[in-house]
Amino acid sequence: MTTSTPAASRASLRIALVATSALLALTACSGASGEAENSTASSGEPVAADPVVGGTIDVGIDLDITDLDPLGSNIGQQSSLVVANAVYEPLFVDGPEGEMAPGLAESLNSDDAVEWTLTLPEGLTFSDGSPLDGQAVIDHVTRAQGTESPTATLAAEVAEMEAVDATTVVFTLVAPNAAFDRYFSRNLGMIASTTATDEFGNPLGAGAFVVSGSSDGVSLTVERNDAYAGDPAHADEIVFHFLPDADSRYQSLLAGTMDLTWVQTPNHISSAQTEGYTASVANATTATAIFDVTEPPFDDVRVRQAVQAAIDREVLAEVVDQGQGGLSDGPLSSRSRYAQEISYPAYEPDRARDLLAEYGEPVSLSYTTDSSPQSMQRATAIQQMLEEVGIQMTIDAADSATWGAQLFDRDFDLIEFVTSGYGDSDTVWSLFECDSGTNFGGYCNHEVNEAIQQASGTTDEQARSELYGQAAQTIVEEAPTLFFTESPAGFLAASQVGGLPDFSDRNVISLLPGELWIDEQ
Amino acid sequence: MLLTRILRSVVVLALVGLLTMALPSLTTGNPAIAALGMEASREQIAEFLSRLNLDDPAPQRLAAWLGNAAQGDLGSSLTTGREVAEEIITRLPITLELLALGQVLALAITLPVAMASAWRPGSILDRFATTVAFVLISIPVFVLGLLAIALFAVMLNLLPATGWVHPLDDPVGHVRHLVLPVLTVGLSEAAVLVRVLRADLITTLGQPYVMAARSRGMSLPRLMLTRALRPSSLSTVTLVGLGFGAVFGGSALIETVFAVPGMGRLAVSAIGARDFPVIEAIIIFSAVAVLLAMAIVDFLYTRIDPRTRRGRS
Repeated sequence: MTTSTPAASRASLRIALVATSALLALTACSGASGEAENSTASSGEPVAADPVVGGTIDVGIDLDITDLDPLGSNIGQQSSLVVANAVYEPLFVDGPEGEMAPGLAESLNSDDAVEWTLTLPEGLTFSDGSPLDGQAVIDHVTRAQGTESPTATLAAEVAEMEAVDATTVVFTLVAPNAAFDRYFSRNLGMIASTTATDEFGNPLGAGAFVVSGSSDGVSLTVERNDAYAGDPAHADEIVFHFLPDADSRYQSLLAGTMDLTWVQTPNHISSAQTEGYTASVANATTATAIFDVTEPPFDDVRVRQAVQAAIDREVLAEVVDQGQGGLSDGPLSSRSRYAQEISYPAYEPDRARDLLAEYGEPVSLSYTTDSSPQSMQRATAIQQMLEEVGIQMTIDAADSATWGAQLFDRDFDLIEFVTSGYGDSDTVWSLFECDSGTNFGGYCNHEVNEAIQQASGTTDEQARSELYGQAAQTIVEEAPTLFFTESPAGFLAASQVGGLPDFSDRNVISLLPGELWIDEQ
Repeated sequence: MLLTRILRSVVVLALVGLLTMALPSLTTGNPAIAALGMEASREQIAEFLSRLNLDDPAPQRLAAWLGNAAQGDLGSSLTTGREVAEEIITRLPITLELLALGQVLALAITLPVAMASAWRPGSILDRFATTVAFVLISIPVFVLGLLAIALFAVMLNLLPATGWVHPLDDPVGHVRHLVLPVLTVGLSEAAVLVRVLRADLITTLGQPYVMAARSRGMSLPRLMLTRALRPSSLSTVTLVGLGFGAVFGGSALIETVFAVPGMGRLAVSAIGARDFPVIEAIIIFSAVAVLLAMAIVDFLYTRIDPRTRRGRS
């Protein structure tokens, strides 16, 4: 059980999650069947040990879901996954430390990272009884390729698809990708019918629930899907309420209006535990800042290293995260299955001054962030740290749309980037690949690029881990991105809710709501 | 007189419309990124933006918007794809109900409190009312909302903390969900109205005709209601009218805190995503609402003080 503090403000987190979810389609799932346990750190009345069948669970999330289609742009943030997973359970799910586990599918294997064979169990159906077979998967991927959604880029890696039989599909990729299977634990793996929609316009899914009600801007209701191939959902019904304000969402839990709420505010996590609520969170968001390395002075590695050495990340964790959470030491998250010792440069203001003296020019920078309290706290703390080594920093507080445009247009010196993207160690590297459209800072190191591409082409996990380690070490040394903290997000549950998995070893907070139950007695 | 008002309104609306249509070139932020995501290629973004004609001159965009609006077409949201007109039709009644009930509550609090305070300025009651009003004015409305939730939902467990229920689905639930947001609107509005009406009443009560009535032994309620309240209510009526005029933006904080799906929340999400079709419709409708509210206020002026009908003060 991790009880750390979000290192980023809610607003910037939301923005970054939107951005990163969009660009990386990081919608991984977690909580494989059978792993559901009531999370630790609850001091409330113990929930019934055995699952209770029936009842309605009220879940408060921070988003307003207007379109449930996994190939739309509405499903991508971590808190939206609980809704999407209810209706479109993915083919695979992310387990502890990023391990893949079967979801609706049985397996997806490859010997050469180019040709992949997907095997489905027999008898899978959408909620209307129509078959979810190999052809349905091909139709879904084909539709993804034709959309404007972030998933289109992932689907575009597929050159050919063939349904060998009803339960087997062979994918041939345009280039080797050893992490291709991970795409199917996210939106691409949330197979949606291309032939039928529900009464609300959502394509039909094969998850544990079907949509039974929708109130614009208020809530979305799902009820148990009797055609679901897995173990039936425990709850009869789940109502997902759209509660954008973090404080009133938390109070809704305290008041009993909600049974389960999304949380990424540190004091809510700690106070909820004090009040006897269950908190299941993981350090699933990473606070970073990206340099524009294409323009002086940050095209000079010494200047970037000086800024890096001048920032005391422990203080940031203390000031912004209230002493919770962890430090981020690079692109490989602490819960990654590739996690390894990365030597992140220490806080050394004297070294920063030496590097600046070596550079020989006065350095000033603009730090672009949003105006949310935590982002401003972080920016202000960094401003003071940089001033101590002689770097004048101004804070450019932008709103979310402006922040996104500045990031995309590379209109910044140093821009805050808080993301869940580092939760997937196989796909996050596009942020550092030379020709990637999501390499926002323009960093290009051909050795890093080569390591990333080699890793992508090998199915040998050990070799991939070593290559990732090399790339990560070079990146933290050259400092195109500054890594600050890993911050918690997850769910708070009232004592009557059971089945909430322990997310503390997960990279992505993705809850399968069929596992939840409620004891309404 | 009517013709002048109509002409003036047309000019105001034209100016608001032009400024609104110029917003895409005046503001930073890219709606294509919000709609397509960061992984969209530059070609996709350029193609998306070209469909919106955001680079067209403001007068040309306004003319096109008016032409479409005349046919009931306000465009579609860039982020949800929904018809803007449908969004407004769905959400407007929710905000109007919230604000109307909030204003009714505010007036129900304001009238007795302001009259009692003005009758004996400096009394214990007046000092108490003044203190409470200043406290309420000092508290940001979203904090007031959170305090209301903490008290009535969390501590007393009397009401739901957040959410909204359609009245046809559950009339009782609808009312229960409305109580806290209406209370918050009412208290924050009443705090201002009490101060304004009290001051105006004190001035009126010092007028010779009122003092003469007092000296003749007219009862307090009768004196207040028949002599003092009417001439003292012009400022209060103006503020109430402006409160309704701000229907599209003024409720944003309340609706966000209480998760009420009204116009305010629509405005907040649209601005955050640079969803220009929604923003444009909201601003222009907001301008229309303000003009309508002011017309009603002016009409009420003539009823409250017939001298204003002839343009006299």
